[in-house]
Amino acid sequence: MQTKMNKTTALIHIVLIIGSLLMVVPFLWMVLTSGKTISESTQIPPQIFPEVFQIENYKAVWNSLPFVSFYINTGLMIVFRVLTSTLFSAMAAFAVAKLDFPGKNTVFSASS
Amino acid sequence: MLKNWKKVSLATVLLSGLVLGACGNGSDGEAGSGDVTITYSIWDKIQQPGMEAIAEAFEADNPGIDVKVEVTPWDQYWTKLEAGAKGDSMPDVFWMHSNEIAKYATGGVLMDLSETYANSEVTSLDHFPEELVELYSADEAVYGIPKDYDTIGLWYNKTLFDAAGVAYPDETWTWDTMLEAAQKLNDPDNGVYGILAPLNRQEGYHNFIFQNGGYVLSDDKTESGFRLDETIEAVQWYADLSVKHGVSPTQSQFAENTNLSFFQSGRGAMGFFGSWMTGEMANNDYTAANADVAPLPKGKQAATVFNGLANSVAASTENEEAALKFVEFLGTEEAMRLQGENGAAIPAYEGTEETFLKAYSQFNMQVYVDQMENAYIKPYSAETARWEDVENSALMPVFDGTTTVKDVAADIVAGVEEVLANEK
Amino acid sequence: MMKSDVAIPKEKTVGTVTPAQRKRKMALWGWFFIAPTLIGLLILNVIPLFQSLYMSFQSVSTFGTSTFVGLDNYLKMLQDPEFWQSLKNTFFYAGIQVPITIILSLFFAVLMNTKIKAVGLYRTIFFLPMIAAPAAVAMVWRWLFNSEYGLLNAVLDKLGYSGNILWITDPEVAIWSIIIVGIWTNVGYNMILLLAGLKEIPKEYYEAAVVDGAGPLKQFFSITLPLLSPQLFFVSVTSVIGALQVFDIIFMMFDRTNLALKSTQSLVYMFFNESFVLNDKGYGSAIAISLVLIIMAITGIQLLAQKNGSPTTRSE
Repeated sequence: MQTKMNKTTALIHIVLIIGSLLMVVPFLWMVLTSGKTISESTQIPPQIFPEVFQIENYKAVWNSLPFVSFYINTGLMIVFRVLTSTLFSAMAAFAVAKLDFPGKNTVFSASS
Repeated sequence: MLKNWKKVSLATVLLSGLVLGACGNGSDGEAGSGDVTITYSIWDKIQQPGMEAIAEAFEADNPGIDVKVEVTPWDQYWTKLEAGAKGDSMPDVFWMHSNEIAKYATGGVLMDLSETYANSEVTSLDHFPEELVELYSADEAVYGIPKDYDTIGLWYNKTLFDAAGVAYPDETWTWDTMLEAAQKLNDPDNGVYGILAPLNRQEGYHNFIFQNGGYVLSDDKTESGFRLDETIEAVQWYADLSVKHGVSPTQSQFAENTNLSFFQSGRGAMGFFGSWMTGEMANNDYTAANADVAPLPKGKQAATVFNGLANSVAASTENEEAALKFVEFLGTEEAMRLQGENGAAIPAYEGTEETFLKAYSQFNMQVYVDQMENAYIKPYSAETARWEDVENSALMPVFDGTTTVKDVAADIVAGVEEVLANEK
Repeated sequence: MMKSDVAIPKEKTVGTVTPAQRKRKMALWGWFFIAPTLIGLLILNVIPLFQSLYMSFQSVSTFGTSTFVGLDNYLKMLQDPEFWQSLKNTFFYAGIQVPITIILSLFFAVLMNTKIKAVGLYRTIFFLPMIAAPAAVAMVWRWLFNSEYGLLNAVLDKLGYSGNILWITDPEVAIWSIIIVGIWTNVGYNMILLLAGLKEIPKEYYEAAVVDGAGPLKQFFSITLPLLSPQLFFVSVTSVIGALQVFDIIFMMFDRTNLALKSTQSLVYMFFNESFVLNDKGYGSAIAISLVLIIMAITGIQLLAQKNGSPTTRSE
């Protein structure tokens, strides 16, 4: 029984690892490409690692757009949206699940 | 318990509403009390430093006015502007383009600037090329002040030319000399193409149409130029660079990589780029070192498409006085010089072009200015995007080699003229 | 605790609280609690829907002046080959992407429901694609799919397949590229939902099944699937609705000069193109309304299928 369990577990791990790699490869490629020069990124066949990781690319992007205010805007939006939507959804869910009131079923179907 | 809970939740909701409302209004108030802030909306971030230099100079002379330069990328610029027009929340001053001027002028959302310029002490409309002023006017009213003009140039890769032993392009070049050179420079085994000729209008085949004596739209804007053999011939010749001679990448290749990326990675010996791309060429290490520009080759005649942007004011602006003052300043020699010096674009004000030339002295920028002698205004109408789309869709298979311009010409004529007819 | 507050008002004495009054109070509370969501729905969903409907019967010219044209837009649409092509593309995409996504999500959810180490790590990694913005995802995949500089063809080459697949420029292949991106993006999210559902299934059922001699496959089909059906239903409905509305990846990965665009263009893409690029909002609205009707019809069918087909219903 012990060996059987380990074999299955190992198999499961292998499958999950392959799956994880597939999920992650685009992100890895994005990070790697972000550190390449234009000629490095347009090589045939593609080069995986940049010779030297070009931090300049990040500097150039940071300077080209007002990222600080973008981040602040996004942050504010997230806070308010999460707060209000969680609140409103919880309220609505409570009402539909626990309370009984006329028109409840119509509203539920309509809102889904 | 419930009642307290309810109070807390109500309070949170109300509070968030208040704070959000305050946040929305508060951001304009940074300028300080009594200051007027006007927004100047543009779409080209390469030109942003130039525009900000102009804004600063204006603010120095007008301490009560703050100018905020906003960049919205081209893809979203017009959607945003149109939404603003409908909701009366347009920027105060903004760039206008020949594609869209007819729509905005007839829509009544632009302010007439003719009086401001007639009464101005610091500038007047005489300093700008007549066609550009006309382009942005309708029935005596002037809806846009010319800002710059642009023409198309033939960029080439000096290193590739040297390696192949071909002489650099110059004003004597014709279509045939260009094709010959492209064939010599073509090196498909190493992924290098003699010339980059994508399916592109302003930088592409429209120039060739004019060079062959054809036109794109008739002067009265009712007929499509694809009725003419000259037009059909020119477009086919341009497409054949890829399809027949193989000296230009295929349609599929261009769908994946822009002509600019080919040129900047040293995979294209020649390419057609407008003067507004000069900043890109200068900022990229490879092209800064290896590229230069020459006039477009001659067909039956020399010709280039030219266009010019304009500065317009929203009819619904709340800061009319400040906006008009700024748009007046934008048309002065000083502002135009600043524009050129910062390499933003070729300023429209007569006599100030040299600032732009000096900004990019490493390239042969004179070419762009000289070509104005043979320039044809970029074809436009009230619904430019629509008929351009007809041309685009019909020509895609031509550039792929599956059909010819002659076969699709009738469809183009029908489609384009339908759009033009609906505009009336 | 809250329930007792609502049901028994403290001020009144027993006997004077009629069932009718209690019912009324509950009704008021019910409406109050659902009010914010309802109002939001009304303002942000219902009203714009009616506006679109209204616009679809108009010919809208720039800056708002519109003329009533009745069913013209719809007639134009039914005769427009581009509409039918977009419809076909959209259905093809949804018809392939959704089943594959659900099967994969289910597969991985089952795997993650076992007692293995680092489940949390795997879960997080699988969820990553969901957190990236669609525009960024599209850009990265566009680069991966690039036939000359892209990683995919390079890897295929290493594995021995040297035919250069034109992922995003070959009209036959392009739709599959979008399907791949769609699957990649959605597997993680759906997997988490199904995993939550899996965890709700009482272990006792499985234990009883083992005692009865049922193998893992039989357990899966007799216990897991039926008891997971509420979540499966939810996942399939939301996935179908989402897939029928595919737009961002197509918009970001295919240029207007790309020949493959015609064979991947979705209904929402056509709506966007007509409304904002070609400036015919009336026609665009007609397309949008048609899509809404299609989605409603398909969702309705799914609802009916679930009602009629569900085996056991779990008690609350």
